[in-house]
Amino acid sequence: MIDTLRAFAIEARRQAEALGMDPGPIEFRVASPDRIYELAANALPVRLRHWTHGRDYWHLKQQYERGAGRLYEIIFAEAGRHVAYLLEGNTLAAQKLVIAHCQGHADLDRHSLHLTGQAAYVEQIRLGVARLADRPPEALEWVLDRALALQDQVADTHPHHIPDPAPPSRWDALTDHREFSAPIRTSWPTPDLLGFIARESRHLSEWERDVCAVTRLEGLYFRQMGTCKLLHEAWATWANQRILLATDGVPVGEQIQTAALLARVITPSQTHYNPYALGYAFLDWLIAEQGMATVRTIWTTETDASLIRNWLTEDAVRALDLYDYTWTDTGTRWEAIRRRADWERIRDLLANELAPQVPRVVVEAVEGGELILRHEPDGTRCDRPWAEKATQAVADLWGAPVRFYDGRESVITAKPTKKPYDGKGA
Amino acid sequence: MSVIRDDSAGQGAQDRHRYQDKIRDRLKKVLPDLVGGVPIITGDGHDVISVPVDDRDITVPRYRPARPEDPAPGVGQGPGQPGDVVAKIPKAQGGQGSQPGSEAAEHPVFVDLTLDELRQLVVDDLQLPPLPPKVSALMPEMATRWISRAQHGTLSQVDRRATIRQALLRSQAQHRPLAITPDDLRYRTWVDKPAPVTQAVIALIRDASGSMDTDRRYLSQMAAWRLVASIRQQYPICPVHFWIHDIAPTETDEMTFYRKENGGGTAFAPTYAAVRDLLDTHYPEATWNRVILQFSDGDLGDPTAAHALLADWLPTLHFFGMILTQPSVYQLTKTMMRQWAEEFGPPFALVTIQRRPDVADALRRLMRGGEEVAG
Repeated sequence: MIDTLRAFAIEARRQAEALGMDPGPIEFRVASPDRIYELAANALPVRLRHWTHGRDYWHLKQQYERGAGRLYEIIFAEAGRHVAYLLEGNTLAAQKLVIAHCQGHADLDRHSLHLTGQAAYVEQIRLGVARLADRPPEALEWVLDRALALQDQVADTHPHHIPDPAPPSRWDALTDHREFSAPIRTSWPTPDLLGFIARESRHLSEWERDVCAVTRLEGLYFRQMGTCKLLHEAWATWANQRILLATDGVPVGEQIQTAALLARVITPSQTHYNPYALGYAFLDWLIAEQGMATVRTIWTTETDASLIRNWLTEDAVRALDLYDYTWTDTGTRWEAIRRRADWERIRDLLANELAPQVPRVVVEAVEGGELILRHEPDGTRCDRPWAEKATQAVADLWGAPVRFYDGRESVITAKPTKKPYDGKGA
Repeated sequence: MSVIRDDSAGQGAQDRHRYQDKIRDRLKKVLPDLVGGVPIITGDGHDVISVPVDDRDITVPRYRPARPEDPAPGVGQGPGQPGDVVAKIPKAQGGQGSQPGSEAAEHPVFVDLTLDELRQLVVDDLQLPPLPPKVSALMPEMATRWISRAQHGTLSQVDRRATIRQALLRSQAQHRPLAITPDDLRYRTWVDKPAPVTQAVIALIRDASGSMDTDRRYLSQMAAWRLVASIRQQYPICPVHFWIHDIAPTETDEMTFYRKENGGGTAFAPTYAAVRDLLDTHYPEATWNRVILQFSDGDLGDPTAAHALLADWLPTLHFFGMILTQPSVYQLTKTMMRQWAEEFGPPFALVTIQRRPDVADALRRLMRGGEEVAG
């Protein structure tokens, strides 16, 4: 089987290149379901150890075993190549479909303006994990429990390495007798909350700040991934479709199987967009309208949200059978009612839904050691109980009180709790 | 382009175990619901069973948008007309709850445990007092222990350490340089000591007459496999036999033992005789700690005969646990059982279990020698 797949992989790449794609080298690894679930739970080839990944493993495994979704492949950008994992035990037809599918993923990874840093992030995370491998697990967990809470609050505004925390300047000693004084190398306000703590927290030891820095890199990696999901799946699905049509490496029986698999994947959903279905149909339509060269440019420069915002026209909405619905309260239940077509409303709803739903929490100032955070106005509020816990996490990492402003009148304060271990440890 | 096999293991196993540690308390909480379907006592320790855990609140908090009070509008794809109902959801009862878009995490997650892990969890949870092994008076098994030294023996048994010591002592006393003479040689040798009997046999007896309804059977099952798990912890060699009886005894497998329901009456005496026969044939008193665990609702068909048999049998047993499940309707026999317990004393122990949450407590009392007779 491996030999057949090897031959097919070479053929698939040739076909992808004939389609104008440039997937680069891909290493395919056939792995056990356990390994695949584990990678899917980590969502990275290598990651700092944490129990949440163990939890996600169980959820994913169960989800796939219930048949809610079959995990066919995982692909990661690594230095100079891609590494794709194939689920052992899948049929030959399914493996070929996946190999063709991965050509599209790899191509987009290499050429999308928004995904350029992927392989570099993976390498840096790998180095970070190696650096931190010998730290005591309970200490590592204490920091990670808190750093992971802030993993969405990252921004790529600073160099990746962490310098020592800024020493208090000469004048601080005269004007500010408190333990903490305002760090000096930040442009205020910064949305890079976790990065700020990784650079400036004097409460954490060097390796603890390193944990925050590596967690931040993970967050940046996920942020990038999150902006191009629909683009990715559409591109890869389109690629596998074309490659399988063009190649004669797939016998008729397998062709039927792959067609059935594809049909299942691109079935549209009534109440939410299926990125495969919507993206694939949209891409197909757009290529017919605009030609491949233009679409390739669009696909490598837009994000999911901007693609919809810029290119989902009235014609596209009609061609794709898109509609929007609102929920009506019937007393005992909610009913989703399809509305009269209004393409601009559909476009905006969809674009909003595809943008990352992450509150932007900025560090506004440090006042006498106290960290001031603000949720930048975006028309929503933070979930209060969760925000309280997240703010507590910030306080623990910062080692001094934290105030979090959400809107005009809502404020959450938190005081640090003690580390249950010696922070300088090991 | 290359295709290779990847058999490497990542860090996943460690993360999964750490997670299992975190949800340990919850695992314990669902243990009572686990007993259906799997032969927990006789199953292979490597068998895997799935344990449902509600872990929605076990997570790392994040800043996230508050959920809108009403479900949010959305976009769908497919043919249809304005006004079509594309989805329905029942409204949550009382406030927060199911809304569209609330994730699939509404399901409990199933965590896989091996039977061994599960048994360990139970044993850790129960903390039953140990059942000390007996030192049999009849025919003690001799254990060979190499703890003695002799001046004669074969060369392979020379104890170099003891020999050097002897040579040192002697040459010091004689003010001579150290040299080993034939007289200094010391040989290892053994003594025989009576060994405690380290194997146990458990016979589980359950009343399968009509009066043992689903609830009582369930209580018996819960109690049975917990007791067996913790006794086994102590005695690695520990065969288990399952007997059910109405008026006549039958030996069964584990699942039948839990489930079987016969009609008709109840008699203890024939069962005692049959089990005693089995034990005497295969598990002689001298080399086995013989444990009987009997589950009954207190419906005692033949008190006189049973009493006589038991009185005769008890001295040869290591432990006899009488577990009464919901015996409320048999006040009379309950009182009689108490008289038995008072009369026999150890190894006879009596306990009653009324409700599921009481099981752990009742078992602890049982292993401490039974209920306060006066109670």
